[in-house]
Amino acid sequence: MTKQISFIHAADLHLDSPFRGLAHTPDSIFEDIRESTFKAFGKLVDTAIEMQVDFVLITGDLFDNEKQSLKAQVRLRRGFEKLDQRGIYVYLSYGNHDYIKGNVHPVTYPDNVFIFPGEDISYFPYEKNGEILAAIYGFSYEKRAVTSNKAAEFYIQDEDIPFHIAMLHGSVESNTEHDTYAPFQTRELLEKGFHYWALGHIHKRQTLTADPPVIYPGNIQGRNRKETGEKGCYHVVMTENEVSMEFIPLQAIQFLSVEIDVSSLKEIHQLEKTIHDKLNKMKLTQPMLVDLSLCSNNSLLRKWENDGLVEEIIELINDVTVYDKNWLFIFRHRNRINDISESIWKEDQFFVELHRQFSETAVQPFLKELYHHRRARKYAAQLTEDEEQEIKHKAEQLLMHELLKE
Amino acid sequence: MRIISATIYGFGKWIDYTIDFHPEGYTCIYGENESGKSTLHQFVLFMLFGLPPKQRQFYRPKTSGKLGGRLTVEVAGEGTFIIERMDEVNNGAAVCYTNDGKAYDEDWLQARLKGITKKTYQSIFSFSSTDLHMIHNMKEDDLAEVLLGIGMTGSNAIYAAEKRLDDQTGELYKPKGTKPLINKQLTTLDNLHTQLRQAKDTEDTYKGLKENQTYLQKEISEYQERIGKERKALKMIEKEQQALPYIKEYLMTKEKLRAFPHALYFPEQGIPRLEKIKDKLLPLRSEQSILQENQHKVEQKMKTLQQQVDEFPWDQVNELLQKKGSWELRNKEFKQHEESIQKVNIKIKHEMDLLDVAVSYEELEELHLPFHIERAWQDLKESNETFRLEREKTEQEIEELDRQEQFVKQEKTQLEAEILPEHHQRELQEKIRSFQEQSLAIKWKKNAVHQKAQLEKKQKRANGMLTGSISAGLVAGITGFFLDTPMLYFLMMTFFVFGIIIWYSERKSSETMAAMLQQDMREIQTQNITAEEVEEAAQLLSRNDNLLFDWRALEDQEKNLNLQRIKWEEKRNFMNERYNRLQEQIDAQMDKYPFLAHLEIRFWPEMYHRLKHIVQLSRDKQNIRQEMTKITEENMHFQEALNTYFDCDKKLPLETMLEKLEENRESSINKQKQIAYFKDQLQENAQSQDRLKRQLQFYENERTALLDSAAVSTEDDFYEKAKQMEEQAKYKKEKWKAIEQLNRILPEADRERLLHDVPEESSLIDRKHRTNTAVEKLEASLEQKRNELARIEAELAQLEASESYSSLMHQVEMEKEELNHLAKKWAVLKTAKEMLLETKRNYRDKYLHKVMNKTTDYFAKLTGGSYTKVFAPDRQNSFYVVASDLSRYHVNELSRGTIDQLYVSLRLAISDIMSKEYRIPFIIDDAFIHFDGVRTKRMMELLHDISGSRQMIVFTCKKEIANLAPPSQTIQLELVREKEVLSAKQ
Repeated sequence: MTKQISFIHAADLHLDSPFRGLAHTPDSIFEDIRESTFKAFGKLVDTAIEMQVDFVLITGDLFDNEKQSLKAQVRLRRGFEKLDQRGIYVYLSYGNHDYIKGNVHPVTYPDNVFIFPGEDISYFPYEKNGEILAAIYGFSYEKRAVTSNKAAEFYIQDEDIPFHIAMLHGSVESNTEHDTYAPFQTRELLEKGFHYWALGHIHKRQTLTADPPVIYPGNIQGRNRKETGEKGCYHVVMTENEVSMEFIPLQAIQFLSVEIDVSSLKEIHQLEKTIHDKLNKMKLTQPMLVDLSLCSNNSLLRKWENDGLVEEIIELINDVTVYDKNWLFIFRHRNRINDISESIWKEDQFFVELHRQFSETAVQPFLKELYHHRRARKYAAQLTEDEEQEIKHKAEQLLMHELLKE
Repeated sequence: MRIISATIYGFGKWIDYTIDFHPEGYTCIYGENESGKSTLHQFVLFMLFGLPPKQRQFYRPKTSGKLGGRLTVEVAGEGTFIIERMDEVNNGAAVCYTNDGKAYDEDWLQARLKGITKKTYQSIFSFSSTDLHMIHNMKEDDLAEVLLGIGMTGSNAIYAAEKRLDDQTGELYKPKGTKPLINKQLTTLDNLHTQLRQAKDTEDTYKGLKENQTYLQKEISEYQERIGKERKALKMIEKEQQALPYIKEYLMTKEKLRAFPHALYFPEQGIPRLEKIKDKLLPLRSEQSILQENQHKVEQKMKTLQQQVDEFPWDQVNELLQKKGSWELRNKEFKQHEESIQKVNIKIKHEMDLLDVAVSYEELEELHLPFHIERAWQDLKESNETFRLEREKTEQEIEELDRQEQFVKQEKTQLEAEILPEHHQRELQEKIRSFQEQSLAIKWKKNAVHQKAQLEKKQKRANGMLTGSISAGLVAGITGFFLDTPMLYFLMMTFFVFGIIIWYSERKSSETMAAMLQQDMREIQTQNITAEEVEEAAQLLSRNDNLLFDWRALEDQEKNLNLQRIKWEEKRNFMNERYNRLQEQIDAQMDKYPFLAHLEIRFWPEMYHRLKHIVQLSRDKQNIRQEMTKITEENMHFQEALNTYFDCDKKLPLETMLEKLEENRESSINKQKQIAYFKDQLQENAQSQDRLKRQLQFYENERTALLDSAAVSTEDDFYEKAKQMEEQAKYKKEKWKAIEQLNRILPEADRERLLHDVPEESSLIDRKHRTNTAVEKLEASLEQKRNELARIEAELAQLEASESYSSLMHQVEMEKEELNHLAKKWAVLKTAKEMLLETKRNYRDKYLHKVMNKTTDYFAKLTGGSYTKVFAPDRQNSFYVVASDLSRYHVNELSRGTIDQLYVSLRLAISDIMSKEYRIPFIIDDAFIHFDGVRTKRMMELLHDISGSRQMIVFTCKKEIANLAPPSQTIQLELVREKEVLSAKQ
């Protein structure tokens, strides 16, 4: 008989971490949003039970120490207890968000849960029907950051065990988009001879290599506008000869980015219909948070925006769609308008001067009175370089429009 | 940019006019006043920037319908194109035609003009003498405004934008405000954050609680262990307590056993065996004595009975009892007879009651009723009935006749009273006759005929009356015949009589009248009697006649009635006689049978039948009585025989004697039987006594053997020995039992320990008490810990179930996002505002400097070096200049011409600096009025110089100015017109 194991690989649950970029959600969906991470986790547990897997791997960031609610860990415990009843083991490591020393709530998990105890690589043997079938390796973050190359420290310990699985919470060395923790090179992992690399930390789902699988399952619930599309876990079935992997979506709410060209619209009421038509085309099977982009090549859209009409239309649409079971909520919208010819910068002395001013002057000093204000500093996020540029751009566009309007 | 030519289709006074501007750049257009210079100027402006409809109407030509024209323009880098505007086409909008034949709209034109509006154009590039005064009051800001006004923005737009941005940022945020959105949001966040921190603090207690929980759990298990130990000790003490009595018992029995001799012999089961033998002996002995006693008693009884039986008279008794059967039969018969008599009596009584006749039973028994009596009674009954009916009828008839007679008598008396006396009648008749004679004599002739007719009539009536009376009489007669009523016969007769009387009287009167008539015809006497009196008398008479007639009728009737009455009375007398005879017969019967006296005759026949039945019953009764007497006699004989037997005078009832007799016989028989039974008993008794003797002997032997075996001679010794044996066994058993119990309670080691060292009861109790107290204390502490743990666990559960921190966290995050959103919005506005201010400042600083330098240049040139420097106005003051002698002059200190020159210099400088890129043509309309000749010349030279780089169109009404320009570049308007007119003619 061929030896076989099956498991679920998930990471970055971030239970009970608030969504980012969401202000002013109606009460009706606020609860759904708040529950979404738990719901996704619930689905994870249900999936494991349904698939009758041997164990579940969770590679770090189960919750956020910085925004740690007791609820997150209590719900985790409940989920694990459910798995325990079905005899499904859980192997988990803590990552940079739920590092061991930052955890203030000493919630104890049931006996089916195996937690990697520290930053040194260790392994748990998985035994089924009296036979050790797999060894699961990993480590947990003790402190906020692990910057050394942990991948290098992974070694297969017992050659007699048929399957070796490594759990690593970290990022590829060259990745600059995210905070780089436990950096590694993909090539380096392949050399180690493990049968499966269960990675975590990167929220976007990625298969670094397929054979052997080196996989970021992504997070299980998108929590900002950049984490769009389906989110979930991998169901892996491994025999000595082959590995099959299937992605299983878990998200309770989906982020969606929608772009609509409204150049041809002449009247504001057409805008409502256009957006409606576009959204209606999508068949909703679950709640959606929509990031809407409107683009136009004339100034009408700018006028509507400045008169607050676009905002009003979106509120109207939201009022309708937000009460469905599978609701839809436009949580953000932005406009891209190309209505000002480039030549004007060169031809008008004042605009030349203005443009020069914008390109030469930093915006920070202007904004001190808010961003350095004692109270505001406490709550408002300091602006990133990108955001500053965006503000500058927007301000310039705004001024152009203000000055040129009759 | 350069204007090449203008073609006017119609504009003001200009119609179908074309003007070509000099390609060199400078064109001077000279014309007298009213020659249309300004109109031409306006036309150019119209072509470039358009005109509102009202102003267009102002320029509509008086003589032509067309309003509009075209302007040919050349733009560097773009080539030549034509701007055409027609009033009626698209509301005066421009259509631009390029060389390649394409047409463009107003917007396209705007782009070519680089956003310059008419206002901007007029403020810089096109001016007249009136515009030049403005420089007097120009201040720093005014100048800046002029500068800003150039280009596409215009100062107004900048200010408006500045204001709007300022307002908008203010609405969002003020560093010290509370109302703006961001400030409000900050307050919201502060509040939420406080709540969040509190929730967090609450959740942070989880760790402490959890530690407490672990600590308590450990403590609880420790306590539980200690309690376990104490409990175990307690149990041991209890066991020792339990074992103590057994230990003591064990030791005691052990001691006692030591007192008994080692070897004791006693037969196995000695006592029970002895008892058993004794048990067998005892009943045997008692049985023996009972049997002997019985034997004696039976023998005694038997003797007495035998004596009694021998004395009893058997023969006599048997004979008497044989007669008993026939006696009983007789009694039965007698009873039946009695019942029969009773029944008959009842029947007789019943019948008698029904008849209610005064006849006693004795009479009844002797009553004899022969058969003919029945017939006789029947006849009597019928005769009596008939007689009675007849007599009744007769009485009725007589009564009726009496009544009629009475009635007629009354009527008669009445009439008699009313009839007039005889003399009165005669008087009246005399009176009438006198009068009639008198009147008839007069009227006779006249009325003769009439009276005759009347007379006839009267006769007729009399006949009718007769016929009616006869028919009525007949009717009455017939009726009377049918109804057999004598009254009606009489009535018939009356009718006949009446009818005949009437008829007769009428006839008579009519004859008399006829006779009278005859008389009257002849004699007529005259008398003193009135007609009224006559009439009254006639009436009275007539009435009296009637009455008399009635009376006579009644008298007839009376006679008739008397006659009838006599007839009926005779009949009655006859009947009475008959009745007396009948009554005699009846009385005869009554004498014979007195009971009939009270009975109506009509019931007699029935009475006969009934009585006959009763008499029969009475006979039956007598027969039965005879039977009964016979029975009584026979019984008397039997009684006597019995009395003789019992030999007693007292008359005991027969039944009692018979019973007694039977009883005596029965008892004697029984006694015989008993004697036989006693004999059997005695025999049996003797046998039993034999058997008992043998058994007794056997058990006596057994007992002796048993006593021998125990080596004792008496039973008492035997028992003594048995008791000793028993005690020894008992102690052995007790000892063994104590050991058994100890084994059950304690393990062997403990048992041995306790047997060697027996504890004191009191010390055990003391130890138990102490241990118990310790356990209680420990349990109380344990309970406390458990409660504490339960409380902590409840708190933990509550914390685990609490959503508040999680909920608040999400809320705070959302509000932060809102703040970020608002902050960014503010940042954009704020940046825009600050950038605009910066730009404005820089722009002004940079260009003002340049413009002033250039102005100085031009101004120096125009004034021939009299002024060396021009300074821009500051906040308070307007322009000032520095003369060549370094003295300073404010602008209003300068002469009018000099001021104009300064202004022109400024404008030229501005246009130079600000619109280097797209050289807009200058149009100057008589701006040099106040210039002297020299300066005018310099001005012209300057303009000419500038026109090298920029088109210059100068309108003037001064010949000398026109002359300053080369003729080729001068257009004289009158001439032009004439030329045009001429060419048009040709």
